[in-house]
Amino acid sequence: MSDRPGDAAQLLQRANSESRNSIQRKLLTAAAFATAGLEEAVLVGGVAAELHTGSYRPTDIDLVGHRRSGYTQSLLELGFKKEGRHWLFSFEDGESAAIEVPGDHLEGFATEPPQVIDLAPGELAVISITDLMMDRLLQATGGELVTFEEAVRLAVAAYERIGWADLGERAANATIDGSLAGAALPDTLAAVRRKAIGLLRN
Amino acid sequence: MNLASRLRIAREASGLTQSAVSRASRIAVPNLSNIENGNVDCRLSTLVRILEALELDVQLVPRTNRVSLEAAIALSAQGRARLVATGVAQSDPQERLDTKGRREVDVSVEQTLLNANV
Repeated sequence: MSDRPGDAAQLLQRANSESRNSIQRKLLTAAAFATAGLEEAVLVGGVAAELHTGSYRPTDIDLVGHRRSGYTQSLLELGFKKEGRHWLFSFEDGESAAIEVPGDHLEGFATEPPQVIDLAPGELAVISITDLMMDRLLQATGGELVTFEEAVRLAVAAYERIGWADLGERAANATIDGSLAGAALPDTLAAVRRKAIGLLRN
Repeated sequence: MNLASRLRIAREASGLTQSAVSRASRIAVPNLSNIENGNVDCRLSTLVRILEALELDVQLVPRTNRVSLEAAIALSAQGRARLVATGVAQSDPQERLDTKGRREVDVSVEQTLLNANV
């Protein structure tokens, strides 16, 4: 039988021993939080992008998942403090991490099973790279240069691991819904892929 | 993803055109295109020539989406190395927070941490 509070505390202890701002620390902290407070948790957002590109500098850790019973109490006992929409944790070396739970499940655009990272103890599910690209593409269709560039970074960093054909199908289907974002998606996808190929060729 | 698509994606990720792979593998561009589009069943020896042109090897790995922390970190490092090699700049967290702020999202906690964790 699993010892959730014990496993979560052990993961946080490991996170404490990792270096400041390292991806290892962020993953272990997310895993500790998820183990203590969430069911079917999946890491999304900036830390997932950092994991896939190795270069993103996230400002918080985003997890989706269903709250376990005793959610607040478990997290408080583990050492997290609530501040606004974030849960904060302070490491022994003075660094702090902020965790946000923006929803209880992956958005409808995510269709692939998450990637699972084996940790000791436990595991951490991370949004698949193709679903993460879809998320970035949907944001980029809003016309923000920042998100377009983020999509390109992801494409360059992990080009061969992204399901481009699958994204193409999803983008084509999105145009059927009649929304403005749906209509712009195939063009955004093509622009991101074209730019990534150009960068890879140089 | 099928093998034909994987070949195309791998070529694009290598930054090579079909013409470049054609020259290196001595396979005509139309044949290469047919292979990448899954229109023909290519011989094993042809596949080996394409892989040699792409400087790739074949590894047989179990179909799973489960990885060790070390393997995940290694992929991350691979991504970072490629971004450095292609001269793609790191994303600016301040710029992202500013974008979020313009959408009227409260970014005070993230801003405090960003300032403190530099």
